[in-house]
Amino acid sequence: MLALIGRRLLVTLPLLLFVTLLVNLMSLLVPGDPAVQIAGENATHEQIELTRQRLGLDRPWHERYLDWLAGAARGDLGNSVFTNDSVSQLLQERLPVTLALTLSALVFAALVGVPAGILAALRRNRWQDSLIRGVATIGIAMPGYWLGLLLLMVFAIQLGLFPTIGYTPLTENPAAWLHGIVLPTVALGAPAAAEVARQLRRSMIDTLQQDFVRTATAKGLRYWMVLGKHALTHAANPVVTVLATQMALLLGAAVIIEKVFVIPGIGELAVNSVINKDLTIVQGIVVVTTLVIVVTNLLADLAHAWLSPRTR
Amino acid sequence: MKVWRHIAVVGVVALLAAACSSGGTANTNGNRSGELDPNGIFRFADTLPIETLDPHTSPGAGNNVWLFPVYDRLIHLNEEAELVPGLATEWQFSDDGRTLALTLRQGVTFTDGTPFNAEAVKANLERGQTLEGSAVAAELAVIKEVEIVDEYHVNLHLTDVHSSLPYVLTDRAGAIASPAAFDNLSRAPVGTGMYKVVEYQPGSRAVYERNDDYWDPDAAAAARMEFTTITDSLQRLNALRSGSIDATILAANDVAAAQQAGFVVDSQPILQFFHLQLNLSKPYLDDVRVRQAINHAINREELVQGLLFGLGEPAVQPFPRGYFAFDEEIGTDYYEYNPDKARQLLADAGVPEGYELELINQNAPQYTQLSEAIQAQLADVGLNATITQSTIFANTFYVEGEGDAGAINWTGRPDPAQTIGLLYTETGFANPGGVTTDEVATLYEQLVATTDEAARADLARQLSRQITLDALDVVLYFPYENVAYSDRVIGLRPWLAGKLEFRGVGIAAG
Repeated sequence: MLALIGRRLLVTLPLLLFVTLLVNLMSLLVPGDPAVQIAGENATHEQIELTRQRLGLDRPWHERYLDWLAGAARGDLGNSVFTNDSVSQLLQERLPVTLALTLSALVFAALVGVPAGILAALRRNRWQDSLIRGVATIGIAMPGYWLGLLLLMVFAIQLGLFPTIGYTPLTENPAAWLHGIVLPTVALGAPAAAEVARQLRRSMIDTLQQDFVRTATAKGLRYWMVLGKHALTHAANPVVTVLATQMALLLGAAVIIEKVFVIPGIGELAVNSVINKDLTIVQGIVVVTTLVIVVTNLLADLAHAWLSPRTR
Repeated sequence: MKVWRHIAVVGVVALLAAACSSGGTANTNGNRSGELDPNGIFRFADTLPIETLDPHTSPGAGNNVWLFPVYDRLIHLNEEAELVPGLATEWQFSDDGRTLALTLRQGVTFTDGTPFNAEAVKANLERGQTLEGSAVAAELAVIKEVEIVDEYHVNLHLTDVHSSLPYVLTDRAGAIASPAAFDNLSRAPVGTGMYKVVEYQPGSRAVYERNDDYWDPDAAAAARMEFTTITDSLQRLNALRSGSIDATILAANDVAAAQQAGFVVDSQPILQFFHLQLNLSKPYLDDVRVRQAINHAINREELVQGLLFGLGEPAVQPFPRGYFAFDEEIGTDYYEYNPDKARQLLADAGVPEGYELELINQNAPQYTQLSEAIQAQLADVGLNATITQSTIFANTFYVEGEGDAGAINWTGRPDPAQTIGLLYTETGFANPGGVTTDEVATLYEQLVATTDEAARADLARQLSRQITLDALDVVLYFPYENVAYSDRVIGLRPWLAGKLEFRGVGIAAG
């Protein structure tokens, strides 16, 4: 187990180097000059040039990249070229919001997807199964932002049950947090729930046909024991994989969902920073997201090991 | 199984129908002229993200909405964009126009307790001039020295005669922050303003609380203001409908829906306008006849109807009707839509049929629609316009000098001399070819050197006229600013300068 964690962490470092290098190189392809915007709308040509020099934008990209790396190694992700805000601080403020949203979407996916998947598998080819599969197909096909807009129209505007914008931190007011996060969670988590339901149905059907289930039933174990203790543990493996891959997808989708529901997470920060060509912030976001995904995958591997001792 | 399929289909259709039907209920429990709730909370959604609350590094006027509740400027603009006292109660140019004497308001303190006085003014102006990353340094560069006469009198010694300065001081360049808080204004702003910021999330949200000691007791009519950024107009309308906000600014295509849902929408012109800017250093565009031809080729009424649903005013000069620099004689129809006349002028100037004109377009739907409409109108007079997309219009068109023309908006400036200087003089940053006419150059020099307000207004008007006669630009229209609000809101009015200031804006009691 420790070896697994160690191996993973070793791979993470070159991975991070690679993605930050990639972001840096991509920035060379992006046209435009943040100095024009930063120097202000009444600036002169000289002032734009001065701004460029001050920000070091006239230096070669690899110098700037190495400087940034040196800082990042000490935990300093640099400052926004636009506002000079510390990127680490911005991320500290915003990452919890995005994590809360993605995690609640994951929980939603599991809460809805797992029972639906089990029910579909048990009622295979009957109407419950068809309904669940049909809804799941719609869930996967429907873009999250569109579902988000529909939910807003119906539940926030028509029925007035939820706010259309805003976010209250969980630590500030749990009730308000829940009230604000329900719709974005459903919008973000629906495709994941559908995916979980489909995968679990499939693997559950496979498992239910296997010998050990028959043996367990033949031993006289109660139905729910067979189902819960034997079949489900076995069938859960692919679901864990799905949830881990979904985490990466959810972080990506959160960018749009945060825009739709006006939630101040890193997605919203990413969009604003790209528009402002604020590369340092974009880079910080990429590093942190990569880390989150690496950790999630690690957790998934640990869960696998726990669920099926063979892979330990 | 079939039955369930039907039910599923019906369910989806019902959801869609509910979503598409025009929703929202009119707010009827308020009264626009009613009593103010002294504890009212006013919630507003702005269109742009706020990246910093430091007035001296804030790059655009779009941020003024967020900054001005906190920071008073030395001089203020009223709703008609005229000068009124701010932190300076009087301002007077010396006879040679090279010194501006300011008399400061007495008994004012910053919300951190620091007294407001001549020292504070000097510290702020010098900070704006020298701060690393200052976005107002260019505007303040005309101040050579800030002389403290006494506690409440300051003389600004200028490099030359710069009659724009009082207007410049109404903007971020004249915003006064507490010198004790200079280090962290971007996050923890401290001013003398009618509100103070109690909560701030860069890029998305700020919460303001009334400054009980404010020198104008009627200004902060709400106890609290909550500002949020929502970049999409439809989302702003949704937020308004669901009651998440009380007021916002809407795009023209959402105005009808807002009215239908029972909201008040005030649509008025502001100093912002759209124009097809020409690069006069390019072939044929140095010929006034060609520029006049393009002016005659544009059907402005059609643009306003088609793109803005009529919520704007066609225009030929760079200032709107009702503003002191507007020239009545030129009016709004000097270049009437006349394709035949345009063709004739082009032929007179020797422009070949099908001459290719490259339009630079800021890659966003509103500009692309406009560029395409202009492309079609120019085709009618025998000009073959091609559209080149750019994500950085200012770079491509102003700095690199690419393309012949570009359709873009000008956000407006407090002083007409600023707009004219930036757009229509040889050194103006937003004059792509750096070309002007002698008449405009001469008038502009006079305007900058004239300190008498009435004489300035007259010169500004003459300049507006001359710019139009010389066809230095193809001004298209002034889009209305559409301020939408529920009828719980009291005192919200459009500001000609284009940036709402929320003075006297509050929430109705009950």
